[in-house]
Amino acid sequence: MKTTCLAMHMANELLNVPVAVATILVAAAAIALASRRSKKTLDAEKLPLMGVMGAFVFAAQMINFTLPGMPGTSGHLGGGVLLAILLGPAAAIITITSVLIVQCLVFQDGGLLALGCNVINMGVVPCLLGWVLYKGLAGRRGGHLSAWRQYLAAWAACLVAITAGAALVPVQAALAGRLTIPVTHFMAVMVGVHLIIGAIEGVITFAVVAYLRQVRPAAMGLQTPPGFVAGLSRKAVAASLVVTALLVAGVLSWFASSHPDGLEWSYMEHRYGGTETIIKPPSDAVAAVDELQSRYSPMPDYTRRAAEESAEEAVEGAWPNVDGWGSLAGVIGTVMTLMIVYALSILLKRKPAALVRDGAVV
Amino acid sequence: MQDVLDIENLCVTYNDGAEGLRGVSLTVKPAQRVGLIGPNGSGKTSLLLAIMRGVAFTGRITVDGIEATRRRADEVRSRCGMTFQDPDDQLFMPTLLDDAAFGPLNQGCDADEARTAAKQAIAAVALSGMEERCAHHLSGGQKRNAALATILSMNVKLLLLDEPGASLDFRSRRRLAEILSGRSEAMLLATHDLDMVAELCDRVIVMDGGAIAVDAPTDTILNDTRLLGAHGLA
Amino acid sequence: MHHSYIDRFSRDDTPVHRLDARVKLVAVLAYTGVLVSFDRQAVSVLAPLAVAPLAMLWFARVPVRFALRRVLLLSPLIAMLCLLSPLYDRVPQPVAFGPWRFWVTGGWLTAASIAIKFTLGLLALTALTCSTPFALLLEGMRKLGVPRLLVQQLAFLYRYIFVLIDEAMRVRRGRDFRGARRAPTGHRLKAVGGMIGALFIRTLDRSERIHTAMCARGWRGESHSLNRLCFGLRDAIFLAVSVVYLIACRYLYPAMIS
Repeated sequence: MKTTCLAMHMANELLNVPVAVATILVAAAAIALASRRSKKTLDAEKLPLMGVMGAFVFAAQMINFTLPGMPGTSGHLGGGVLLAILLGPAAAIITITSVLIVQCLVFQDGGLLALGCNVINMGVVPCLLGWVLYKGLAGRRGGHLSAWRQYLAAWAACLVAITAGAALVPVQAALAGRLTIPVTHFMAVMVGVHLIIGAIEGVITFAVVAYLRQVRPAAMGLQTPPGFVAGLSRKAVAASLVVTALLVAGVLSWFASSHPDGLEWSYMEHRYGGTETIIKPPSDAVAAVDELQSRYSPMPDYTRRAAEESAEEAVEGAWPNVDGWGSLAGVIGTVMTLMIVYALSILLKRKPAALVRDGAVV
Repeated sequence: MQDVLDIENLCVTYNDGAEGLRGVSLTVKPAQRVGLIGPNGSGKTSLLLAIMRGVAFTGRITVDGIEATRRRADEVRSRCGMTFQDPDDQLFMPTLLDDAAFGPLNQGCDADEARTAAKQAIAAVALSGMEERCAHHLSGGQKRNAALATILSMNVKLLLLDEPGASLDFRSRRRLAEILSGRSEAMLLATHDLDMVAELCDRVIVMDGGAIAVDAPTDTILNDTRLLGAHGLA
Repeated sequence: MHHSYIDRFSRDDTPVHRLDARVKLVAVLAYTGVLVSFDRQAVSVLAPLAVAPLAMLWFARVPVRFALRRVLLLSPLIAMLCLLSPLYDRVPQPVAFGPWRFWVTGGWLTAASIAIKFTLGLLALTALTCSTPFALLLEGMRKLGVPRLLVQQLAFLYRYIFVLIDEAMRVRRGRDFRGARRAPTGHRLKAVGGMIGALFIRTLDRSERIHTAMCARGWRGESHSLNRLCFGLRDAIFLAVSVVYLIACRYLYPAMIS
C-alpha cells in the first residue's frame, strides 16, 4: 500500500551521517518541546490517545479528491497543517511524528536515517509555520472568526507551510554534499511541485474547516488557551511574511536565471575545439545549459573534454591508476557468500506444521 | 453475605439537560445474574456507566461494600468490569495478551502474575493460542470474547455487560452464552437478546424512560407479552 | 486493504525472528549509517553490503520478491535524482571491472550509487520489520530510550490504523456509489471536506470512549509492560558479528580494492 501521497519524503541516500544525526537531534528536541507544551493543554492521561489521531491522518489520506479537468490524478491530505489548526501545533507535531515513524517502520516508506529530516520538513515546519500563518491571517474580532477569512487563511497557511518544508530538502541534501544536481535546480523543482501540492491540500483543508465550523464548532476551539494568540499575532505575522517573501523572491530569481539570454546561447554554439574555456560560466544554471549543448554536439572527444573540465585529468589515453580487479573480486566474493547463505537458509528450513501463519482470519 | 451491588436513588443528567436516569434503586446479590432490558434510550448504558463512575451522578452506589465516591473510584473499578458496545474501543493494546494483562497490571500485579491471569482469562473465553494476535486480526465474535477476557483477568465480583451479543451470528452468540453460563461472578446484562436473557438470567429488570418499570423473575416477565409490548420489547 | 498485509511475515518462528528486537534495531540503524557514509559515486565498493540484508531476509523466510516489490514503488525523489544525475554530471570517470575498462559519466555512477543504496537500505528495513512483530519493536524502542509517550502513541496508532482506514474506505465507497465522480467540483470538494471532517469528529469521540475503557480498567496514566524481550547469547553473537561485518565493509574492503 502506498501511503505517501504526492509529497516527497526525504531519502537516506541524500544524507551523510553527520547531517542525519544533526537533524535527528533537532527533531528530537522539537518533539520534546512539543510534548511538554501539549501536557499543558491536554490531560496527561489523554496524551497517548493522540496516537489515534495519527491513525486518522492515515485514514484521511485515503479520501481522495479528483482534480478538476485532470482525470486520473487526485489530491490527498498530508494533514500537518489541518491538525495544527484543529489541535494546536504541539499536538500536531507529535501526531505527524508518529505517522512518519509508522510509515517508515510498518510500510517501509521513507528511510530510517531520514526520519529527523522528515520530522522537520513535514512535521515541525508545516505545523508550526502553518499554524502561525493561520492564526495571523484569520484574525479574531472580539472572539468571532469570519468564515471566509478563516477558510482562506487555512488555504494560504497550507500553501506556504508545505512549500517551506519542501524547500528544506535541497538545503539538507546540499549540506550533506550528496547532490550532483545543482541546488538551485533542485530547489526550483521542489518549490514548484510543492506549491501545487500545497494549493491542493489547502483546498481540501479549507473544505474540512468549513464543514467542522458548521457541524462542530467546538472542535475548532481545541487549540491553545486564549490570550496566547493576541500577543503572538503581530510578531508571528511579521515573521511569516518575511519567510514568504524570501521564498517568493528565491523562486522568482531561480526561474529567472534558468533562462540565459540569446547572446549566451549563440556564443556557446560557436565554440571551437573546446580546449580553451572561453568564459567562466556565470552561474550554475548557465553551466547546466552548457552541458545540454555539448550533449548535442557530435562525437565529443573524451580526452579533450576531460582536459577542459579539470586540469588534473590524464590526457591521451594514459590509463589512470585504477585497478578493476579488486572490484571484480569483491563482487564475485559477495555473490558466492550469498549463494552459501541462501543454501544455508534452505537447509535450516523447518517443517511448517508447528507454525501459526497469519493471513487468513480463523 | 453482603450485596455485590446496592444502588439507591440514582439520577443521571446528560450535558444537554435531558434526564438519563430518574431515581433508580436496585440490589444484586453475589453470583446473581440480572438481565437489563428496555427500549433504546431507556438508560441501560447510563446505569452501567454510572456504576463504573464513568458519568456524573447523584445518589448512592455501593459495590461489594465500598461506596463509589471519587476517592474510592479505583477500588470500585477493580471490583467490577464492564464491556462496551464496540469491542474496538476496549481492545486498544498491540496484542491480546497485552489487553488482557492491562487490568491486572494497573491493579498492581507484577508482570508474571499479570501474564498468568491474562492467559487464564483468554483460555476461559476459548481464545487460547491467540495471545500474540492483534485485535484487528480477530473476527467480530472473537473480538467480543476478547473484550470479555480483558475484564475476566481482573478477578472482579460483578460483570457489567453492555450488549455483548450485538451483531453476532447465532453460533457466536451461543458460544458467548456458554462461556457466560460457566462463570461465577454476578452479572448485569444489558441486552436486546431475550433468548440470552432467558438462558442466563434468573431475574430481569425492565427499564423505560430512565426508570425501572418492572423487577421480577425471568419467567414472569418474558412470558408476559402484554408487558413486553408496553415497553417496546415485543 | 486488509490487516493481514502488515503482519504477514512477522509472526513466523525463525532464528531471525527470535533475535532480540533491540539488537535488530541497532544493527539496521548502524547498517544504514554505513551505507549512507559512502560517497556519492561509490558503486562496486557497496557489493559486500548486499550480503547482510539478503541473508537476513532469507533466514527470516521473507520472500525477496516481496521486499523488492517495494523498491519498484520508488520514492519520486529517488527516481528524479537517478534520472537527472546523468544529465547534470557529465565528467567522465574511468571505471574498471575485472578485465573490462570503460568510461562512464559521473552522473551515471551517482545514479547507480543512489539506486543501490536505496535498494539495500530498503531491504534492510524490510528485514527488520518483517521479522519483528510491531509490539516487540515498540518494546525494543522503549528500552533503547525512545520516550515512553511516543511509544504509547505509536502503539495506539498501530492498533487503530485499520479500524479508521476501514471507516474511511466505507465512507469513500458510499460516496463513489452515489456517482460522485460526475458531480461538479464544488460539490465534490464539499463532500471530501465533509467526509474528512466527519472522520475527525468520530475519531475524537472514539478517543473519548477508549479513554473511558482504559479508566474502567484502572488506568491512571502510568504504563506497565509485560517484558517480553530478553537479551541472550545468540543476540550478543549477532551483535558482535554485525559490528565486525560493518567495519569490514566500511574500512577493510575499500582499502583492499583501491
